[in-house]
Amino acid sequence: MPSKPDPVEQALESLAGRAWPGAPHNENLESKLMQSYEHQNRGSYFSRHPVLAPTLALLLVAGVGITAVGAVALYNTWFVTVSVNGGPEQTFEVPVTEDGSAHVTIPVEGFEDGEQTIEVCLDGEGYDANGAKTVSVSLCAEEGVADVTITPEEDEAE
Amino acid sequence: MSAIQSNMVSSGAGSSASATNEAERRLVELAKRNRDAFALLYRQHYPAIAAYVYRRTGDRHATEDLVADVFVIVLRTLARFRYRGVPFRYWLLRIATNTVNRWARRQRRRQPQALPDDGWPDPRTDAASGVGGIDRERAQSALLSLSAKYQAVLALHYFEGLSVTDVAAVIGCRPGTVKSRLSRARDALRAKLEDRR
Repeated sequence: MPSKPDPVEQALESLAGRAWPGAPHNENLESKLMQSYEHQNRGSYFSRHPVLAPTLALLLVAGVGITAVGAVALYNTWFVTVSVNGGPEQTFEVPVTEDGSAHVTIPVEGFEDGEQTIEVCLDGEGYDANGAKTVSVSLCAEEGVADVTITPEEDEAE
Repeated sequence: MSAIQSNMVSSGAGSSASATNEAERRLVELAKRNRDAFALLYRQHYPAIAAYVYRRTGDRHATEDLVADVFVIVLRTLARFRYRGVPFRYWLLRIATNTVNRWARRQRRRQPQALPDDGWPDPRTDAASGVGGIDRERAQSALLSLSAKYQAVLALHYFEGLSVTDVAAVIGCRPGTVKSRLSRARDALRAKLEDRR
């Protein structure tokens, strides 16, 4: 007697087989991208030479369990300072992803994985008194929500 | 464009993967300063990124908007991209994943149990043409009701066929985290599918 098929496997197989019904590329989007490309290449010196832009950033986020206290950025690496449950601050060196965010994986007691990843996003850019480029960053959040609630993953999926 | 294309074909059509990787690396570097190279890069990767986003959203209109967002980010940040031994596609998938995750979180807040709204049904991908007793609409609805990070690992592993290690490279965490997240995501998906019976 054949075994009963697994509904999860069926669902995933069904969705995996879904082909993109649109065109292989979008002419309008390509045209806009090309215009933006031209515009961008006429941009500032710093935008074309990011390696010359050492940065200093402050991260002001209050979390229920985890607080990202501050971050110092040097080109594509941020040194992010995080406090867990009000404990001592820990500094992590993390690479910045190319979309301007960084993932900080921090050890947290009481989680099955023993760690939690938070995402930090670029908010804005400017220059300090010495003319060095600065960025301000915060925890990635939607619609201006600046708090992050870290809960066990099992609960989040409910 | 044609000169670039012919150059890439001659470089990338070799039998070894390293030659293909080198060709891709050269194209990416060229795209940072050459408009036509960027256009070629866009055309090469648009279908795969659109397919990934579509499988996650189930919505053609949302997919077109999100893929546009992805490539705008790519254009803005390409100069900072550095090869670190992972394919360029994985970098695109990371941007696409973050973009869709933000969309998914917004969707969950607005309509936690909403079905995907695909106004452009395609006969080849009709919602009714699911597998076994699971139709696609129900499967998509269940998937979208999961947390964004669960959606992401399921999609990257099962839809894109990435290994656990590669999923970890895309989303920026440890393979062990991906494994446990996949397990929980499957359990959560099972519960959602049972809810929708």
